[in-house]
Amino acid sequence: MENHCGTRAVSIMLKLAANKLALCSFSARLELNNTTKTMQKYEKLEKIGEGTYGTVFKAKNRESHEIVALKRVRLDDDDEGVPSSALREICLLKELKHKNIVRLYDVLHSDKKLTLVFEHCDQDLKKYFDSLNGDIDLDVVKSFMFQLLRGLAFCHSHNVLHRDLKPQNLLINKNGELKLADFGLARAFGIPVKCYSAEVVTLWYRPPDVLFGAKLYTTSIDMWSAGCIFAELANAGRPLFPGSDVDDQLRRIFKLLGTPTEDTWSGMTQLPDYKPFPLYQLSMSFTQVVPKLGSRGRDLLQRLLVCNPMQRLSADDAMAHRYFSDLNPAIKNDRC
Amino acid sequence: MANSLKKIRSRRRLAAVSFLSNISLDGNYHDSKMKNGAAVKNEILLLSPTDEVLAEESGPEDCFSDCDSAYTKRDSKRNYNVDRQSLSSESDSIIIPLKTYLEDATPPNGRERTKSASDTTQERKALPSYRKRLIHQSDTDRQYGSSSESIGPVTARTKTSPAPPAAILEVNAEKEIKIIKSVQNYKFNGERIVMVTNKHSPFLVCSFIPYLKNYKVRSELRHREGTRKRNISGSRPLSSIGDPLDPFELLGIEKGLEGQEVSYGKLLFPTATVKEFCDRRHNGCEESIEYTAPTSERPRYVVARTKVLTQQPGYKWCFSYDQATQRGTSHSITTSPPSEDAPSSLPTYSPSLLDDPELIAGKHRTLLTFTSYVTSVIDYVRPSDLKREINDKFKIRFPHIQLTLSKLRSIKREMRKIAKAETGIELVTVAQAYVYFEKLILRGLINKQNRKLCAAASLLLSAKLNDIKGDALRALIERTESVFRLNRKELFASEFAVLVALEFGLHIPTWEVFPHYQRLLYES
Repeated sequence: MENHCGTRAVSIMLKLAANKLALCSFSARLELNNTTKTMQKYEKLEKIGEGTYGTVFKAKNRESHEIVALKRVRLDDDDEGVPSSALREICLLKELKHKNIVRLYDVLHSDKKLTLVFEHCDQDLKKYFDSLNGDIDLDVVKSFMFQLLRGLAFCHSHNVLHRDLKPQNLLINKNGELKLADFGLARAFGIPVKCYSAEVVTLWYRPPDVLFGAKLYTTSIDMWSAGCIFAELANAGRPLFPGSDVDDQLRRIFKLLGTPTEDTWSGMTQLPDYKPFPLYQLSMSFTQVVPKLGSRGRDLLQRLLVCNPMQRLSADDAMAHRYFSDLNPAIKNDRC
Repeated sequence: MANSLKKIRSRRRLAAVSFLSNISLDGNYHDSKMKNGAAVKNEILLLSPTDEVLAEESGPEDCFSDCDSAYTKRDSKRNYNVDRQSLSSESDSIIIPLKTYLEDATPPNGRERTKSASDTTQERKALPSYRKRLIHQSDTDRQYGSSSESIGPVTARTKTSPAPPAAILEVNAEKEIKIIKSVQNYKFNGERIVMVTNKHSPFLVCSFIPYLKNYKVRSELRHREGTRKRNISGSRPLSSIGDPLDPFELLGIEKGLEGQEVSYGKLLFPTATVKEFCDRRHNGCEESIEYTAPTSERPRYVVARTKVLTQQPGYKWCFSYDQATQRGTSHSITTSPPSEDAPSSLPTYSPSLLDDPELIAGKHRTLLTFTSYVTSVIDYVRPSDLKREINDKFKIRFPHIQLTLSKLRSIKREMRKIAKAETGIELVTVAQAYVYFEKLILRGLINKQNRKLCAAASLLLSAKLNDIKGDALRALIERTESVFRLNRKELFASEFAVLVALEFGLHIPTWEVFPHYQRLLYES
């Protein structure tokens, strides 16, 4: 810890309550550096929005004038303690330091509230789409898609599933950098147990296995969402499967990809919420779905949008796809 | 009086030791010796009822009667003061020669003469371990003390294990050896046999372990730990809850003044190295889990804290104390980071470091590893003695920890009990909570006042990260409150305190969780 104090850190040794006899015998190594008054550290500028929990503000660091995003979490509600979404963001983002993942700078705690201090980005992908008026540069599509996959590959290599990928959760800054944000639904994976929540991912970006109630899923859950976002990028913000409910969502998916069978996806009929769907024939080709995308791009999309989760491309493999072979090396080699 | 009791006790141990030492060590059955009447005359030590039962032969009975006569001769000469009520004749008869053996330090001549060359070498090599153990034994016998808690394993073993009628040796006032043959050609397949006196005090336990190269089978056998009703001790009475503890203070965390925010930004450095997670990923993605500990390479027969006799190629016998002693001393809680690539003040964590699964039998066990089978000699020991011994060992290993191993285990059992009652809570959640709790203990942050709060908070944090939400989470919180007798407000306050004490490091690699998970699976 001492090694990481930094120059400005004021190391304050623990004050141990001398009257607590039980505590005196051990030497507490936990030091809280930089325990400074943070009340006025940030100046609130404007409200950005409401997150999955609490409010998000844009704020300015009074010392460094750095712009940050503050997520306020109220703790006075004595129902469940620290909200699990806040817990996930803190504990997972602590381990996920990457150029394409939003940075958590600080955690501020007081009796009544918890404030998470994030890196601030100018806008999210949804707002970016709105500003496009239906036209997008295909190089931008490629660059964003690559950065999305790179951030995702990093999460997956650290055993983290995002589970809520959608344009609103992808932040974009002035330099054209894309960052994965909102890890409130993210979780670790590792030991396969059938207790994962099936209530994850916003409906439009939810893969068919999870729509059928699959409780054991892995990185493939994020890859489907990435595929949906890829198509949305290529169409300058038109969602690929804007379903109104679970059935409508599945119908839309099967109309484009054909209804899967036990042959193409073994185990499908055993899923908890499985129900048979009409066998839709492939009426639409991907050239109609994503007209602007070239053949390589269509191939990548088709490899991501596979109903059978086992056959979906992984983030690492997707990054190695031919589609990215002519990507600007400045973006491609921009590591972490 | 006490002296004679002690004598008897150690005699019983000797009986078991010598009994097992006479099962031919290379796995072969030396029938010739038994058939040879002249040899048997002086060969009392060769009694081996299990062999007979196993072989299911009718012949050897004659041999035993031979032995009996030999034995009575000796007995009358020596005139031992035998407690006829509690000792089986079996154990008595076996004690004598070994005792001579130990006292004289040189085997009787007749004995030496009749022995085959291989047998003698084996016994010579094996002898030091018995002697050493005897010394230990008397050491522990001298220590007295009591506590309301006790560790289950040894008693649980005997309780749970099936005792086939064939294996029960009845006590006979005439001190004859009685062999009760197996009922209806009963086959002993992978069972544990407990031999008891007529008062049902066990004096010998043996298991049939199928010879398999697969290590897992053995670990499965070792992973049985007793479950015991816990004694409520050390918990704070409900009445004291009116005076709330400050969990932050108890965990040594400085807290801001009223309404003031504290920054924990310095704790946001990543703890885990990429390598850890990469290892983990390869393990985790596979459906069938092959767990390999990346940190420590352990031998296949891992039974730590036991004297191990291993057969080396070339018919040599190797006697060793395994890693126990080295590990005990080499482990250190340092304030400096464990390695350059892990920038953290955390001491290195290993899942079996604290709650060592091997720390169940104390020094009351000798393990003999052979190519075809494994033999453990487990002496009967009072559960309270065993518990004290194990706790003492734990205390020596971790002097900075203000918690006994038995208490740690009892708290872990309670954590499991809480989770078990709730539907949808997987054992992984419990296993993860164990890691959090043990990490707090290793940092020396747990004491009598906060141990339940921290255990409860660990479970709560683990549940939240494992998709437990809504009604299931509320039910879990309620149950935690009642089992650990906590106040909800304190629980939530300690939740954040624990989070800070763990430096927000709740995202932990699989290799830290998996061994706990595996143990929980075996125990269920």
